[in-house]
Amino acid sequence: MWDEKREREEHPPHPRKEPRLDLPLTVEGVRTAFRDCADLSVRELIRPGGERVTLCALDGMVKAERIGDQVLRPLAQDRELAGLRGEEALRRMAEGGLWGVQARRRDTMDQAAADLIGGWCLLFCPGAKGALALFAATEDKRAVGPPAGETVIKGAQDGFVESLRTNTSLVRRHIKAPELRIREQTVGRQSLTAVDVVYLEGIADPAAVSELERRLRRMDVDGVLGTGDLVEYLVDDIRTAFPLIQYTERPDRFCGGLLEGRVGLLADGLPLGYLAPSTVSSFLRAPQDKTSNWIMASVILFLRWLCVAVGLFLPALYIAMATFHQEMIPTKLALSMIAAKQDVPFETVFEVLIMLVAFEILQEAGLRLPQSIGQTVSIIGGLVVGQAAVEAKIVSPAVLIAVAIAGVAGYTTPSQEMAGALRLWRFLLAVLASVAGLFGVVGGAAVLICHLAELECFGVPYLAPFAGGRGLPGAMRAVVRRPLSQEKLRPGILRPRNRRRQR
Amino acid sequence: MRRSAAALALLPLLGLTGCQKGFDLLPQARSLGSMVLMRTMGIDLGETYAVRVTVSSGEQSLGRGEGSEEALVLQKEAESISGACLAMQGQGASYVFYGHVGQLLLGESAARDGLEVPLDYVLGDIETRLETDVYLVRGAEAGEAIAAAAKEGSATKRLEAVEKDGGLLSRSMTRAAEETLEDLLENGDTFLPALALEGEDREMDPRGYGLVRDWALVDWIQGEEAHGAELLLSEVEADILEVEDPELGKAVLRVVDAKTKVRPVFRGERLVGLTVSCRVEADLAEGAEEFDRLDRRSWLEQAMAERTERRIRALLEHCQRLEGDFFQLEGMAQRAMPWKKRTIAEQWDLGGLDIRVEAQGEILRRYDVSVGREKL
Repeated sequence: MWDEKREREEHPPHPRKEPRLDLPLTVEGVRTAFRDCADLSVRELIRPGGERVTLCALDGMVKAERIGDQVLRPLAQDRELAGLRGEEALRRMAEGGLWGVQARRRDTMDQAAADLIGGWCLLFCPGAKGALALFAATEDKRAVGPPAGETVIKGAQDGFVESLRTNTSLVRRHIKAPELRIREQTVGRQSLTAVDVVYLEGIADPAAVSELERRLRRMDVDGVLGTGDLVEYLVDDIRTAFPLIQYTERPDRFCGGLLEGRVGLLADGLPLGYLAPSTVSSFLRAPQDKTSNWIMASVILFLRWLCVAVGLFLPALYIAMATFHQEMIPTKLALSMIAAKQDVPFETVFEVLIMLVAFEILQEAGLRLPQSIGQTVSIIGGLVVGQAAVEAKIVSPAVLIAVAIAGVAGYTTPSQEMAGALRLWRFLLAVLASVAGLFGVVGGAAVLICHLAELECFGVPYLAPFAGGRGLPGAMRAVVRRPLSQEKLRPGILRPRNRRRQR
Repeated sequence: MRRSAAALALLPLLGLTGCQKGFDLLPQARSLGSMVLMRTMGIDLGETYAVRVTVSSGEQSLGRGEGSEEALVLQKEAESISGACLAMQGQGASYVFYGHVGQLLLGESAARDGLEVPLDYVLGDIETRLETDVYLVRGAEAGEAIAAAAKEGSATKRLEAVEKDGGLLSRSMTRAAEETLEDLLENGDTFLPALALEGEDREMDPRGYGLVRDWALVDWIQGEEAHGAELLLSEVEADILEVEDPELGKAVLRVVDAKTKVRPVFRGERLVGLTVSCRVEADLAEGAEEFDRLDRRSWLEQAMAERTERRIRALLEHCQRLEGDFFQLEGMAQRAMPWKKRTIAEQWDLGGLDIRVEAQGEILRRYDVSVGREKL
């Protein structure tokens, strides 16, 4: 960030090269474009009548059986084709002489190269201009299975996979309306990742759709390989730890978002879908909220909000009360805390901060290791080391309990990114509490609210429905899941073109 | 942006400059581990200085099953309560914290001298709480009571037991500094629970109430008058009445509830008296089977009503003699007729009012386990 100006001067932005491959669309041109590529396969065939044609493909990207059945066999056996040569033969092949599902004529090397990479094969005939691209892509990909990060007991067990087309098909299976629109762009100079903007025409806000497309078009990056590669270019503000675009691994949840009037985003290679606009309350909704009874779901939703408050403020409040405002603590609790703190050499502030850091380290270690080892690390770290630290009077049990409760409360947040942001603010609030007690906590909370209030996602206030003029009924919807039969309208804050959801 | 980020990044470094003592707005940090929580405070008149303050902690657990520490008792004399409290900070290594003082004892001589200073201290001190219970020590010094209790445990433990038993046995109502101050600021009169040092151990025991007039203790009530106070304020949780029937012998009634209403009586526009109506409910705890008969039950209810009436009358006559509205009867009368609030305030003269006491008793039920049903 600091050297941005100098970087721009030393390495100015360069325009995209057009055409990317300035070569004639010939077999030699293909060989030149894909030189030093071990996976390029070029095969010459002699058709009945003696004409030599050339078939180019990238090994691993195409399915051999498909080429054999749909290209080679008709080339060798079709009598009608046997009598045709050059341009005439290629035209006939494009019109159904070959048995492939999709065939298209290509005139430029850029188009042909993109097709080869996409799993098509190219057929060159002597005397014919350009080439014929025939779809023969392999279907080797991960099978659709239950999403690992968003499991539900009741509900669909399909999850997004790395294949974009599979993902769009999953969405189509949930929403069969022909108004479902899937608009594709290619993002990434090197990765050439296909990114689809998915929305329901007549429901989604057209302004949000065009804004999302504009931001995608504006992206000029090397590649889109991970989730962050995309999201950081699409959000309104990157100076925040809070997630501004929601993601889900579940097609049903993704489709639920589309039905609400949100705009979806699917990218090739990413087994998840993004939904925008997103608000703070959407990150606290879990997939099972709609599958549970509304009373139960409301209680759990309220509990989740409570846990956010506990996770965020408990360590800070503990520090503030134990260090500055002892009179606030109920007498018997204060006596217990004093008894627990006997012979502990550290100040409460350091105890809490040490435990918070230890908690983060344990969590990080648990995440980076294979699941079975991760669990062992958690048990050893959490139970054994924690118990030993208390026994050795390095930390007091009360601190351990406060930090553990805050940590566990943080895990109730369905969004890991939101939980991460809250953990960061938990640290900040704890530091402020150690400096100024409750004044620090209240000041920190005020800063947090101001920070959240200035965030927006595609023009929607991040704090909606608490902000944005939705009033108390709107705010209540964030903490209570009303019976579905009473949810007559789509959230107005998303500005859907058609607000009515049901009769 | 860069400047703001740099300023934010440098902000924590201010803590390393040694200038943090200059930030007077920030609260002062104190370690909970090196703190002794004082639970009981006693205030007496001093011998050398104006006031003598005695404080006691409760028995403090050492934690992790390592037993408990004896109660710490500190005493200092100074010209002010705050001065004495501050002086006590130097009597030990730990920080003496008064934020958890739950009981304030006032020796009789200090209470007769006036409650303004101790209650003002509770009101104004940054650490003390307005929920602190206030007690008067009858015929002794508060310091003596605290020291005696520390020999057997702690004053805190004893007073917590008194507070719990007070409700169960209907012996003593507790009064928080907050409500005491409310009364005193209203008309300068109030009442406070009294404790007496009993037996060889000089153990604190409830002994009626002290009557405070113009911010100073003027008299004590106990026995029937003290019960009258509880009935008047509808603060009866449990009380036992024994009634002797010439034919059927003794019946024991367990009083479970009392509701008292005070209504002003006007003659024209002149306030001439008060009607105090009390409805008492009781269970028949012990007694012959025949008490279940309707006529005997009525007799019992009548006897209970008469006893109640006597108790309240005795209390109110005492109040009239002292011309003190210790139980805020004026406020009760005003609440009964809010539209005449100003008239009542202008014409209020408790000593000159004609007070009529009406009591009504009701026996609610008696259980007979032999038939397994409610009989009355």
